[in-house]
Amino acid sequence: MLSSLLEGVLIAFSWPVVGWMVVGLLVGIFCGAMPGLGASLGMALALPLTLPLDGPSAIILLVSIYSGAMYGGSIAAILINVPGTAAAAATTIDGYPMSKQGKATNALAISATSSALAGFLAIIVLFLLSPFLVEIVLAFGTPEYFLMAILGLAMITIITRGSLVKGLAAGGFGMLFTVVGVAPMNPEDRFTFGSFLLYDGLSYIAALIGLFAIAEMLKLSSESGSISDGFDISGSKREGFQTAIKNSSIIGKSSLIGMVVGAIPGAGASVSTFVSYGETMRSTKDDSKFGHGDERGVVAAESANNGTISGSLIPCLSFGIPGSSATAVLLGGLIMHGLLPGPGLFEENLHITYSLFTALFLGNIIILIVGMVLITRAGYVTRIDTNYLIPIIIVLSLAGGMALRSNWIDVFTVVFLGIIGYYLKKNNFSLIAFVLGAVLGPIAEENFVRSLQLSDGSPIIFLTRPISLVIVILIFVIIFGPVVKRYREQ
Amino acid sequence: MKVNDTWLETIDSETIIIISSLLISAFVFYRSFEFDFAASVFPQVVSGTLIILTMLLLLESKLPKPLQEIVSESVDLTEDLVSDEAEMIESEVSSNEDLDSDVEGTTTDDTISEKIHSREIFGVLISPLAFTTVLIVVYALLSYLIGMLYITPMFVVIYGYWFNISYKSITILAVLSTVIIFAFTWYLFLPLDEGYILRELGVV
Repeated sequence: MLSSLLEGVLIAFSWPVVGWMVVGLLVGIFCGAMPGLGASLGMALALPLTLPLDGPSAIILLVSIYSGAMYGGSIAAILINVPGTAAAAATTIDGYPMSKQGKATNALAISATSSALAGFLAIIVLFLLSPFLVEIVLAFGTPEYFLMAILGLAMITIITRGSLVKGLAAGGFGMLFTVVGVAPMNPEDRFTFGSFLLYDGLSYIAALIGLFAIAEMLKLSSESGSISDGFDISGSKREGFQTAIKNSSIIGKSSLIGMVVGAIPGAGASVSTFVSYGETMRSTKDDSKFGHGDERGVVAAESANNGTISGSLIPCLSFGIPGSSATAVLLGGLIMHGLLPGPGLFEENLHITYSLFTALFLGNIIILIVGMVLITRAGYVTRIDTNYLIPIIIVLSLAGGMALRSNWIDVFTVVFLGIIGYYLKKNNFSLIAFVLGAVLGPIAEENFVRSLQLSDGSPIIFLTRPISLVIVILIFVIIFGPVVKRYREQ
Repeated sequence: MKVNDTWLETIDSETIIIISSLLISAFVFYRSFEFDFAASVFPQVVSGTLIILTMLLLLESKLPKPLQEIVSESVDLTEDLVSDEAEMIESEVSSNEDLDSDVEGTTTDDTISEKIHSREIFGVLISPLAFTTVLIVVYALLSYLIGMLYITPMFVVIYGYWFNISYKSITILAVLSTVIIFAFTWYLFLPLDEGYILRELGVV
């Protein structure tokens, strides 16, 4: 394990990996700061461009975009009261009032410092947890991996606060998307209609680009315009930095809250930041300033959202269950580069997992430096008219679709799923559930069929092992628990 | 006529999505019996489940009340995690955001934007959403037929013209987007400089 750790650290510090990390962070900060873009869109657009890169470089680039976007989201939240990402929604509560009080620089410095320190802490905890994760992951077999995919779908459906049936239907539709092409366990082509273009199936990466990029551009095109007319950035970086350091206990607590909540599939930073904000309010004697520019509110929210990154990596890397839409794209990137989540990432590819953790660790230093240096320029990003970005992102999306396999089916998949995605979202079908279904479909099918083959077609195999039985019970509790709870309350 | 109008009124985008999902899953379920066990069992389970779920959504209003509540009502496991105070603030903040997607709306008045960028063509008022949707589909089709490298600047110019972007900015965007496609063609060796028609005519 120590040799893997050393190898991972060396990978993260090697060239051009460090270069990709910096590029990823800058792209992420830009995407996060632009309301309407966000981590998942930036990562989805970058996915096809990572094809020529080696696995570690590609994954570190993607995770750096994710990390940068988490910090970048606070810029628009603080300066113009519009969270760049859902994770920054809680930052607006005290960040924007601070800007109105002439302390925008303080708030941005608090955000950069808290994000970086919380990120450090969460990564250290993740490093310490990894030996235990290895034990857990290795205890899982074929039936358990199939059941974990179903558990992930059920959890995401419920935690994204929509209709359970709609969420499951979206996930099922995502899985159905993957049955086109040659079957994973039998060389038989399915639903190709005789077309050679469909022989390799539909690309889930093209689906990701369509759902996250094109669907968002369609939404933005009907509401686009300049985000902000401008805002004078005043205040003190030094004071902001000192305030964050003074509240290091809040940083520690919020980072851990972010990590724990982030590890729950589907919960993500939008939940963890509010949990952390609420906990900071509860544990503070004088909470009257919260909501009116209390610096502790910004510290709590920003610490939690960066802590969430490490937490969301736990189910993603261990069981292939993404904690958020951004980790769903990351999962897509892992699979695209042949890095299957599960035992592989904790055995033969453990060095890559450690290089990812190290990159996140280093990324926090860069976030701190970039955040402190570029604070006075941060406002420019929020003034870009989205009308200028929409055509460029559409062009990048379609070219990115073509880059996947030089197959025009992928380009049309991007367009088709972009349009479908817009209407799915408009009608409250969970996009994350659809993506999870599409990404996990082949893995779920492989494990499902293999389990049935092992048991001569008997589904009892999913109940015979203690771990699988626990997962089945969890699935039932998650799906039927809220229904039973409601009837008991009535 | 009145019956038709009433029937049409019930057809919205949600109904179309549900009916399409039902038809696709029914097709997959039916056709999957043609394959061997290893290739058919997963599509059968997924499409079978999807048929049940979409039927529940489609017949929601006709279901018994307890079942109707399960189908229609939202469930939330996080309500116990978030404190009351934070939840109150969250509900205020989330009034202009979409928590599910990690993506936020802008502060611009959507209705005003819709009105400004809507245009009448042959007596039909085209919304920005409809225009962008059609433009993207046409862009993809023409890219396939002629070549993305040649169609991209035209796409950007038409988009920019519709959304009242200044000529200077349109020019910059068109050049930038062409450079992007050229970079994809050169860097990833993609055939973006050729299309079906050009290939058939022997031009490329």
